Amino acid sequence: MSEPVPPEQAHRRAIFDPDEGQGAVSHPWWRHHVRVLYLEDEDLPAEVVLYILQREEPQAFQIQRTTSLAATVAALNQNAYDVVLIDLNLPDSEGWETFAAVHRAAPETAVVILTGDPDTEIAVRAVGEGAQDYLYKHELNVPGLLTRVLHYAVTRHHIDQALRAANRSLEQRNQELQRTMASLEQTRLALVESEKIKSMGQMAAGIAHEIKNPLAIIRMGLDYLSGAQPEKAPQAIARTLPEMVSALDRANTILSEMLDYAAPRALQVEAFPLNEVVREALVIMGTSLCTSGIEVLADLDEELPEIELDRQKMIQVMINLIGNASQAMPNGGLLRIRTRRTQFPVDSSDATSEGMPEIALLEVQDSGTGIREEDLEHVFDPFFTTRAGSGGTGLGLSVCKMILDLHGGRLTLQNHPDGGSVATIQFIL
Amino acid sequence: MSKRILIIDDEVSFTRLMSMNLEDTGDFEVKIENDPLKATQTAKYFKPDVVILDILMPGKSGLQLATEWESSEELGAIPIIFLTAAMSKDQPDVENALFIKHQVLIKPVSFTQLIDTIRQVLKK
Repeated sequence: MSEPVPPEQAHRRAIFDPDEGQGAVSHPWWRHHVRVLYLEDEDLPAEVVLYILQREEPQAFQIQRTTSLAATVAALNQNAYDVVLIDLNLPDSEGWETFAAVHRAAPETAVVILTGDPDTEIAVRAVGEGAQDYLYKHELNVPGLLTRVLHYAVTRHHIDQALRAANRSLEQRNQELQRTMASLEQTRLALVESEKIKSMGQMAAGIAHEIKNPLAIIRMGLDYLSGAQPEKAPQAIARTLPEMVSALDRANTILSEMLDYAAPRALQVEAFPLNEVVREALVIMGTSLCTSGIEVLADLDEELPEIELDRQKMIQVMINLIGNASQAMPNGGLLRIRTRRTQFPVDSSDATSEGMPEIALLEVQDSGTGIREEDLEHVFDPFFTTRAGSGGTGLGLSVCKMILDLHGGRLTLQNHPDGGSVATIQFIL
Repeated sequence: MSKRILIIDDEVSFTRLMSMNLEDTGDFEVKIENDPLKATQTAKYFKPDVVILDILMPGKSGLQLATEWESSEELGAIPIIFLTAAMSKDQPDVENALFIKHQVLIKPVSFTQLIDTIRQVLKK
């Protein structure tokens, strides 16, 4: 290893040994110094530059000088520099071409242009294309200017490099993110499609089951009729026809409920008393309840304000809830219907009432055996029924819930602590 | 001597009409059980030569009943004809060993097809 050379000697050697020591000066204690490659074909300005740097910061710079573009490119290919200080007009290159060739040879190295040309067009363009700065030769006598320009050029260049690296990294991460998002979107679409197919499959299976059963009744009835002896035909018809008609009606009901479920979901709302909905439904269901031995106890809050609702659809909901309650009490019982005004949320005992919205509440409670715990979470699923084979299609509560959802209301069903189950409708007032 | 057929299905109208059709042939003694929870007891008492069994029933499915009977000395040998609206031939459930061992008919079934299947099962 060669002995360390004092900075002054090194500068001298570099300056007076042009193009021969391309990379010769790399002493260890200068590692932290600014490594400058200085391209200047004329000796006098080169002497001036060296003199200024030596005078102002003797320890700061490690300089290697070249006098032609070719030698400069060769040095850049061979060694690493912090900054290239270049004169643009050389024997083997002129103006913009000089900068372009140097920048091309070392795009990662800061470039400062030192020009004697008063026209700044090329220098300004070079700064736009990646040079860090430019200096006029006649400005070199400004104290501290050259050293400051070189230091700043290196610092700015490092910052530029770091920013570019960060930018590249960000760009890369952005691309990865885009790819991940595209992949997630594809997965989401696949899941949606798969769920759609699954729910269509379940729906189709439900419809098929509910329609096939009445069809089976009709088929069995028709087969019986076609096999009956002519003289016994009236009796055969009497024995089969009512059940076939009933099966037809059942299939029709299922299809109607299906259509309700899938129908355009627009409501025709008007301000209407909730109590009136209850009364109209009770009128429609009255005979049926009476013949089933069910006593009705209606406790309706007459102070309840009118609610924006679709009268027909809400009556449909009430008929359905009353019908369910009635079927839960095959041997008769007590049907309690209650409306009241209360604070939201109804089912949270520790909530403070202050600031909470008021709600209108409608409860339909039966005194039947209640709902099995394992069935409670499925009661609103389409085609879920505990009355298969006895007229239950499993669509009634699904349709009711959908209607309440459309109203922005809420429908829940739970077992009552005193026995039986209670359906609760809530509207925010 | 007429063969005994036990129909287990919660569809009241369907079982009644099927029973009428079967009894009209004069070849069968038919018993209907619409409550699957009582089906085992009824089968033990009635001792059927063949059981026509629905699958989707409230309380207990036909498949549960058939599985229980598999290990029963009294009922394990009774041939079963599953008769259901709950599945089609494309469904994977048809791979179930019980469905392979026994016969499966899909509702709605014609009486001709039903009686042919019953006679075929009884011949075995």
